[in-house]
Amino acid sequence: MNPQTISSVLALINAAFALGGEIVPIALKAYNAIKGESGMTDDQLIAAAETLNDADKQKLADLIASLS
Amino acid sequence: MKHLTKRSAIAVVISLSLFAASCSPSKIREARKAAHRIQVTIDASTDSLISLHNKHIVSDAKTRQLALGLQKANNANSVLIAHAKEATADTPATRQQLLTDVQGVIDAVRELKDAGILGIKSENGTLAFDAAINAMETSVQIIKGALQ
Repeated sequence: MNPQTISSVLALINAAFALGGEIVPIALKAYNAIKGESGMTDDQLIAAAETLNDADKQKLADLIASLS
Repeated sequence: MKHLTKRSAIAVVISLSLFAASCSPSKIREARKAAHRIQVTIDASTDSLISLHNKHIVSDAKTRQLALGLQKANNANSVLIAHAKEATADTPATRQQLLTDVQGVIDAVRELKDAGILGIKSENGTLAFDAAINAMETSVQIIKGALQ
C-alpha cells in the first residue's frame, strides 16, 4: 500500500476513534478493502469497484431523496 | 533447413517477447487498483456522511450539498471503472482516455472540497469527513502519476 494512502486511511481511523460509534467500523472497512487489493486479480478489482459503485449510487440517491 | 527453422523460431520468440514488453499490463492494473481504491473512499465518505447526518452533526442542507458532490464523484468514477475494465493494452490512447477520466474524478473531488466541511458542527466530524476526502484525493493523484 502506498504510504500516502496509508496515512490518509490512518487519519480517517484516528478521526473515527475520536468520534466513536459507527464511524470506526466504516474506517476499518475501508482500510481492510484497500489492504486486500494486492490479493485480488484485475477482474476481481474491477468487479468489486463496479459492485461498490452501484451500491453507492443507490445509497446516495436514497439519502438525497430522504432530504427532499 | 534445420538452422533456418531454429533461427525462425528464435526470431518469433524474440518478437513475441518484445511485443509483450511493449504492452505493460502493470499500468492498466494500477488504473484498476486506483479505480477500486477511489470507490472504497467514496463508499467510506458516503457512510461517514450518513452517520454524521444521523447524529445531527451535519444539517440537512449541508448533507444534501455533500451528497450531491459525492454523487458527482461516484458518477465520474463509474466512467473510469468502465474504461479501466475495457483497457487491454497500455497504449497512448488508452492512457489518455484514463487520464481524462481521472481528471473527471479530480474535478468532482475538488468541488466537494470547495463545498467545504463548514457546517459540520463537530471538530471530529470534520476530521473524519476531511480525512475521507483526502484519501480520495490521494488515490486520484496516484493514478494520475502512474498514467503520465
